[in-house]
Amino acid sequence: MVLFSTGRFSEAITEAKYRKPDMLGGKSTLITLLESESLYFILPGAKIPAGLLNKINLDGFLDPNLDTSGLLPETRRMENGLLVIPDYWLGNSSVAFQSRKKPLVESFIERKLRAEHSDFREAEEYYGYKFYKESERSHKLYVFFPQDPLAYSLFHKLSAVGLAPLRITSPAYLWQEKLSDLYEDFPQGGKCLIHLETSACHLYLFYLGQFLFSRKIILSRTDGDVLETVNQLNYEINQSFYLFSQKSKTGVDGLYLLSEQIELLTPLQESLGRDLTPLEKSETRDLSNLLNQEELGTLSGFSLGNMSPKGGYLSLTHKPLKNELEWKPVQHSGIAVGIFLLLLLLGELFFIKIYPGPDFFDASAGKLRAIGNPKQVLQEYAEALDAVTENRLRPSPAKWTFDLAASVPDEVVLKKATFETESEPGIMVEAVIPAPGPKHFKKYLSEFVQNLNQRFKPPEPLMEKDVAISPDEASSEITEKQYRVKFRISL
Amino acid sequence: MSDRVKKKWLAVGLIWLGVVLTTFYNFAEVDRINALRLQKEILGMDARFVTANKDPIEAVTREKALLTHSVDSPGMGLMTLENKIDLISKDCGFSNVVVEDKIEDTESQDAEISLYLSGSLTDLVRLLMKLQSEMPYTSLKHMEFDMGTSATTPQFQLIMKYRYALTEPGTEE
Repeated sequence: MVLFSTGRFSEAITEAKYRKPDMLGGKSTLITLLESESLYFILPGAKIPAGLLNKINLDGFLDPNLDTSGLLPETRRMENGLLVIPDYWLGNSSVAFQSRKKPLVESFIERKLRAEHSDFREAEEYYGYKFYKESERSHKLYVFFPQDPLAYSLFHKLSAVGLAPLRITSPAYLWQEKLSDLYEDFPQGGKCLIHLETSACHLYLFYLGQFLFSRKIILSRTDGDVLETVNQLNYEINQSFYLFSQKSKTGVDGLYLLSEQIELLTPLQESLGRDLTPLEKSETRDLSNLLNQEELGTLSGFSLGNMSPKGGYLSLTHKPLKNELEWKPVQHSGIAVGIFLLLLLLGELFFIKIYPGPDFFDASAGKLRAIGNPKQVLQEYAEALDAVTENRLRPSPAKWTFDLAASVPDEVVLKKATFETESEPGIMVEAVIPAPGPKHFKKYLSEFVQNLNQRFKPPEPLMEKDVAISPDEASSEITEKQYRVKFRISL
Repeated sequence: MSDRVKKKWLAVGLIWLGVVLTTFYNFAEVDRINALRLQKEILGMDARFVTANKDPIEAVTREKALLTHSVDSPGMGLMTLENKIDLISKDCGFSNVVVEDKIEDTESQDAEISLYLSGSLTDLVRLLMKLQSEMPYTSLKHMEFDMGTSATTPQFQLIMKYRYALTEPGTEE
């Protein structure tokens, strides 16, 4: 462990400079202890060497006429994980409340604080609560809140210098957590912790595992007279028990003693008429390595491990800050998951980019160059095929002419013919049929029509009724009668 | 809300924006590659088809080329055409041959040719067959003939469509 005294700030600064921010840009964390009218800014030393970074007089710190006197720039750059304030700065009360719904509970507490502590309007934003079991069937709501104006002044000042505490607690709540860890029966009945120092004694009284009140007893100078000290303690402790019984309607059934003066244990037990359970002082990462006994005061029973900024003990947080802290895991998870996904997707992108291979499209381009653009070739081929097919399907006028000539019987004289090959393909035919009578005419016409149908195979066969017949005027001088026929054969 | 918390939310937002944008970009890139791959497959199939059917494709292309008369100018084309028709007609036995041409639209690169002939039906069939085989860039649209009387020669009128293409400078027919 590294010890930083108040006179060795330069070493602390050097040390602080090596505190790297965490991965998500977080600051290094310190804890702030208020004891003996002084503020101690301490590096808790969970992973890095612990040390006292800054010590400032409370009055000087809160004086609005002075700036943040004595507060090192390195201290201001850190995150204030915990503020330990005196017990008497915090008030508490217990009420029966059935619902466990957070909005209902908080609304109730805020209403109650407004009604009962109108002089501390800000108490609505600084309070903590928990439920505890009073009996098998009933639970109670335990609420604690700052009740000293100095507390709010200190919170504001710390916020102003960028050291708003993430958690605020007091020695009593640290003891409450420690004792409940050590003794299974601690949450049952009334319990008292006697923390005896050389010149003072701190009494902490708990009911059903919840802190009720504490007292500080200044011991009179007895020049080593154990009996006189015991008598004074006996009187004060009994006074406190009386007060406790008035508040809790029950007595104290368990006493714990923390003291380096072992010789007082037996006389005090005899004087009180009760057994005292001695507590051992924590040796691990002891605060006494950082602060002297006078500076430690009520905090002398704790190690830095008991005051972890991560919590585990009852504490309160400024409500807006609490909301931020509640969202902190979401933010961190969001950042971590987001970065993971982003890396995964970037990896996928890299894979996508390299997967086809560098010659994936070059090979295709080379092939195209070798044979020409096949798409263009095929398009030209399709166009050519259409044109060639259309040309091949076009009716052959030579064949039509030949077929027409071949269809004309010997008795029939072809006069005119008109061929249409495009819009409505067909042939308009005019012919003359010499015939002595209708019988012969019909025979020749039938033969002509039959020949045409056989050779041209029109979609709709030509019928004799489709043929227009008229006498041929040019044949009047000839002995044999002639008839002019006219028809159109569609192809 | 403190600046630090705001910065963290901003970081969360930017990171997730990056995630969303990268996701969309990746989808688009996968689609693009799939499209290119499909295009490559189609090109490959086309190329295989073209290679396997090289001869028929060339034959059809050549035949299609014959359906258009490559000329330096429409006037030159018509002059050549008229001359050739005159020769073929005479070769088929026609003597009085009249050829009229009419270019209606130079954009469509075709012209209408009218041909007036007198001769026998047999000569006409021979002429039509020769026109079809030797001048595939012409096609008959309309044909009339009047056989007249036994004392007169049959008269024929043919209206044909003539397709031509102007050759690019520097290319030869």
